[in-house]
Amino acid sequence: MYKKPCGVFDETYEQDSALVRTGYRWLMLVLLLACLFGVLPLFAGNYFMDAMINIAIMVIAALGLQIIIGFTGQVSLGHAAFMAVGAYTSAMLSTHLGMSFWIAMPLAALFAGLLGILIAMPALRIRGFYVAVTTLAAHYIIMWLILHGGNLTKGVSGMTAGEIRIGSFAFDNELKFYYLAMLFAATAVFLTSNMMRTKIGRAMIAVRDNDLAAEFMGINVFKTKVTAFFLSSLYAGVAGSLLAHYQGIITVDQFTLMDSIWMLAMLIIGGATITGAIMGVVFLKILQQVVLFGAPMIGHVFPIFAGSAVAAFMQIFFGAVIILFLIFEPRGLFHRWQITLSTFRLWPFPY
Amino acid sequence: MDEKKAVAVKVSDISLSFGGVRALSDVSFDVHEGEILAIIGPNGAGKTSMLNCINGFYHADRKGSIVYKDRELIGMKTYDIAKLSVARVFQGIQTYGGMTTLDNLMTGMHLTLDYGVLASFFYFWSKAKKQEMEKRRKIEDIIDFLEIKHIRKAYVGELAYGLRKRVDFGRALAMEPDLLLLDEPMAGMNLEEKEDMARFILDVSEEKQTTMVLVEHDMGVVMDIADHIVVLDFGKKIADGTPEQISKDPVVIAAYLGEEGN
Repeated sequence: MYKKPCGVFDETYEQDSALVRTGYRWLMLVLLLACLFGVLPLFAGNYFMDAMINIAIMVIAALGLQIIIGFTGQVSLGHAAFMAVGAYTSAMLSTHLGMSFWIAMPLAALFAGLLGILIAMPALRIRGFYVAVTTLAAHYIIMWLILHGGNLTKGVSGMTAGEIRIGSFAFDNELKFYYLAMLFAATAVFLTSNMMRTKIGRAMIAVRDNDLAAEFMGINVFKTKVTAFFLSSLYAGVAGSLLAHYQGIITVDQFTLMDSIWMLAMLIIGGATITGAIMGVVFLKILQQVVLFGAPMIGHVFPIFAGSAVAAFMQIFFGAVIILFLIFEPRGLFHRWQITLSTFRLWPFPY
Repeated sequence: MDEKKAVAVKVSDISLSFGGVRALSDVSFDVHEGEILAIIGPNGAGKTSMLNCINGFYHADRKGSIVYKDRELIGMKTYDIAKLSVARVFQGIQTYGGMTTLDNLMTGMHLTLDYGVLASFFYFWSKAKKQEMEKRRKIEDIIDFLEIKHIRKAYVGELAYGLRKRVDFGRALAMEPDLLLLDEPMAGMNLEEKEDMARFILDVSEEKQTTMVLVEHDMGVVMDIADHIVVLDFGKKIADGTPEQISKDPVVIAAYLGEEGN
């Protein structure tokens, strides 16, 4: 049960359903935002900014996946493919038609969303495992189309995407893009949080927990699933579009099945909430950096492990992390965080 | 039985079969406005199937008909029937474990909230917030009534069985039903919990004049709270009448206790 700090009482229903409940939490939120937008960019170098941009983009994608997996309970393995759809649509609109990012991105996101509906329609008439297999098929179909798109998608050689600009101002370095990506990520988090405290979010969780009861209560289960799939793909499309315009060039091997599974891993590690999705992304991305720097060191100390062994070690290490989480923390980092908070709030009177 | 009351649900000639098994055959009865009708019968008699037919979850044979609010319910989709203010309390536990008690009840209000995805994204600047707060007031009334204030913010999956059943009942009440279908609301409860639940059912019946169809095994409860009883056995209706009539009916006694001399 969520426990508020001692002495905090809600006097109106608005207060009770507010996202940020106490003054202290407001302070923390403002501090966090100030840190992310103000302090961090002052000290961080380009490498760190690049990592943060990747995290911000992945947060948007992971939130999308959370909507379909964590909230609606349908396993999708095609999330990377939907990101690719967003990325390629946006890149094609920008390169072939010379559209600005601000028009190309919404169109790309919408297209990814509509494609999501198209794939969801047959997939969601059935449950669970079959949805996963259908989205898996969708992944390979989308990838095949992109690879064989000829001059339209430029196949294996990769597709270019133009810079994002507002008037004459171009987001052309890591620092500028960092602000943009963070703003998108923060907006996505805010909008999703809003959605989850209204009837749309409740209907999704109802479908996840008990689709039978949901149907009896007047929730159109199929429509709810399709809506969730649409939103999920929409988020993936936004994330893909941002990625394309950030890198300037995208290739198919940036959107593999492994990437979908990594996103799944992020959600497993984080837990089935919005905060959980963010925690999962940040945790895995940090781990990735640790391994990236740690592996060569291991290679240095034990020359026998150098080279390909280090690359293999990365995979084994990540696999081990996911297994350990499934065994010891199946409800994710967020759950652990809640327990820690509650413990502090109840201490020293644990009743 | 009070003959002056209008018929709320007219069930006529309902037959239902799963493959070769006939779950219901030619069952007919009337549910009158504002009454508590109990469907009783041994296990496998077709009581839950009957409720599922009214809910549109099972599709009964087309030759029969279930008329409610001048609509033929056979052939309608389950969630469309829910729109006619038909609520259901389930057998066993069918609450949403991952939501708080409050959210479980708010889900019952799903149909009365009229806004879309876009409005839900922009909570503060849309009609979503206004509607949510209006409904929240009604939900709090139900929470007060069912005495579940202390578990308002608790995850239902972590609650005890009796409380979950109460949440299930509350969720049905949140739909502001005109017709409430209760499928063994008291199964597995102790005496005290049963008394509470019976009191809630009677209170709702008195205050809101909600028409109810109740399936229950506890004969003591049924005889006490039902206005009208329908007895099913092997998918057939064997008796229909007031509790006094039913308790003296030799056919019913035979079905429950076995016939003498056999």
